[in-house]
Amino acid sequence: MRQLDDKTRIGALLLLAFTAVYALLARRIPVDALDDGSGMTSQSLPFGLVALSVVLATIQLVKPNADRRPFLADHRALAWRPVAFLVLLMVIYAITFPWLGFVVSSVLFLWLAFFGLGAATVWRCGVVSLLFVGALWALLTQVFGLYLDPGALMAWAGSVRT
Amino acid sequence: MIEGIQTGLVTAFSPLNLLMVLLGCFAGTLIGMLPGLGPVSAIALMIPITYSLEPSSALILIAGVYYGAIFGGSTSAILINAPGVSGAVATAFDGYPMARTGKAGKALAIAAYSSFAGGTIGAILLFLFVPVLAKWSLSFHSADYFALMLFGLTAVAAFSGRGQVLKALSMAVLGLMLSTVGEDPSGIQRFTLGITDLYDGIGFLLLSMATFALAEALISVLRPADDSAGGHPNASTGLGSLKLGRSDVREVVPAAGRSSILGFLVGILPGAGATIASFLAYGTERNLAPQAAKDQFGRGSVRGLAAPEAANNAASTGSFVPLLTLGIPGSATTAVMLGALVSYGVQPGPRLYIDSPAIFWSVIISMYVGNIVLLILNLPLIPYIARLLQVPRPYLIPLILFFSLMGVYLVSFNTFDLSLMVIVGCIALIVRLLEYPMAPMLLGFILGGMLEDNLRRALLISDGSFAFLWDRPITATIMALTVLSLLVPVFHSLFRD
Repeated sequence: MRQLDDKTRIGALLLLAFTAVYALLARRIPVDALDDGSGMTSQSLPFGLVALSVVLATIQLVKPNADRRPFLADHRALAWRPVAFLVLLMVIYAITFPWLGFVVSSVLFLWLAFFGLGAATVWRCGVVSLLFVGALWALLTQVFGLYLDPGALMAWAGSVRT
Repeated sequence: MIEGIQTGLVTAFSPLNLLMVLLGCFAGTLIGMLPGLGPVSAIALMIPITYSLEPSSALILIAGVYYGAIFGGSTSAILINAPGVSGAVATAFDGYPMARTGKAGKALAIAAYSSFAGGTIGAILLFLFVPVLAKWSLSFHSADYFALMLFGLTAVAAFSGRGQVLKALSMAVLGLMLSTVGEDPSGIQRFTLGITDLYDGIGFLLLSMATFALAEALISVLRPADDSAGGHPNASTGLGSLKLGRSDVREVVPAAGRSSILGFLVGILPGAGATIASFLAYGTERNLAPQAAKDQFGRGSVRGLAAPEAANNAASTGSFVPLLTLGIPGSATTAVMLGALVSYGVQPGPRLYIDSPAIFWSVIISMYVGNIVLLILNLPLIPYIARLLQVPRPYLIPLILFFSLMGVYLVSFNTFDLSLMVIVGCIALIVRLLEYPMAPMLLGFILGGMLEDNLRRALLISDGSFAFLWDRPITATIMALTVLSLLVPVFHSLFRD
């Protein structure tokens, strides 16, 4: 197990796994029946890259590594919780964006992220995020004339009111 | 020619046009600093405003916006490791480490001076060699482009630390693999998994923002102690001095000079552009550096910052050669510029230089005036721009994440990209923790499409024979350089122990 806990070896194994999936998907690429005369098909480059990737990953796995750097032992004590919190917030932001639109989803994302990282009190974080997103919205839409999605719920609310 | 230059000078230096270039540089810098809004978007945003102006004033305003946006992109790359445009990726390699160690002011000043040097040398070369260079750029065939792309890929050795060449090569191959997602040159869908949002492939901005800005922000949360590491009193938040010491000047001047010439020559080639120029310049400078200086690359090397900055600006100037002399836009930015020129009634092409020398030269001179104004305008602003780093971490990190997500959304207006970016960012975080370098992956991704395109075309021309690799002297020379620069570090890495 200790032998496997090596950053280079774990990286090489992950690359091999990715390459295996890539190779499986490459087999599904339809090959153009019409030969354009170049001798190259849509599969040629992907398969060439698969071969190259396998060779490089194998060398990293097999080559004796004097400078072994453990991965699991190195990273167990890191601050994973706030990272997981931010990743979760980004996922929620990506999911809610089409529904809540740019302004509401952005205010909520920044509000929770500021507060979650301990920037200030919950109300202060809310005011800062509201002012920031409001200013940005005004700059992008009123000055640069860009369209920012108001969100399906906002559009629905607007249609109900009219 | 002299008359044309005189008319160009008079037009460019009129008070109204000087005001235009000033406004353009300021607006361009602000827009360029926002991730996702690079020179292309900045110019596109300005075109409707310029319709009310005289064509010459409009062109001058656009020139200011263009250079301002390039500098703005470098600023966000240096301060928050968010290279919003591909040309600024190599700037982040050493610019960001400098900012982290309390030298943000110096990094921004070097970027400004080097960009200015690149613009100046580019403009001089443009003045001297426009007709000859236009002909030379046309003599490049697909085979030469393919060889040039391969040569560009060998720059990965420059982005790998000691004994990390194999890791760097693996990441470059990974980047090439990612570049195959989407429609191939013959119109066949590859690796799209039936998802229509992937038909156009993965966006460059998405990949660069996810692997640099997003992953970097998450790592700084993961390892909060690292932000104050190094013991420097100004570390990570301070501006530091803007002044360059003698040793800095001694390193910056030759690096900027060499990289400007290299960048200009690469910029002339349609399709090559500022990104390849900046990567090549970075790789070349690292290869030329003595061992001690070589180890500094990626850790805040002054040369490593000056080289890509000078090269990308010189390449931007060089890209005007095919645009103005042949009417061929060599990049997305020059394509937008071409649209703007045509809408003002200026038709770039082989006859422009002969029929309307005044317009030809006023465009070139106004580009250069934009460069000068940018330097004068931005140097005093550096202390204010760098204050961005003094924003407390609990505010700064969510803002970096937000700007990265928003930047990607502003390019595609597609919410699928937001989800994809979070996934890529999380994978990039793991890959970075495994100590695999990300820059080679981006380089592979940038060059992948062009590499396959030119390989296909070259094979088609040579009836499927690989003899095109050595048939023409120019291709053979580039290939020889490629093999040489690839084998030396690989052998060094394999037999070092």
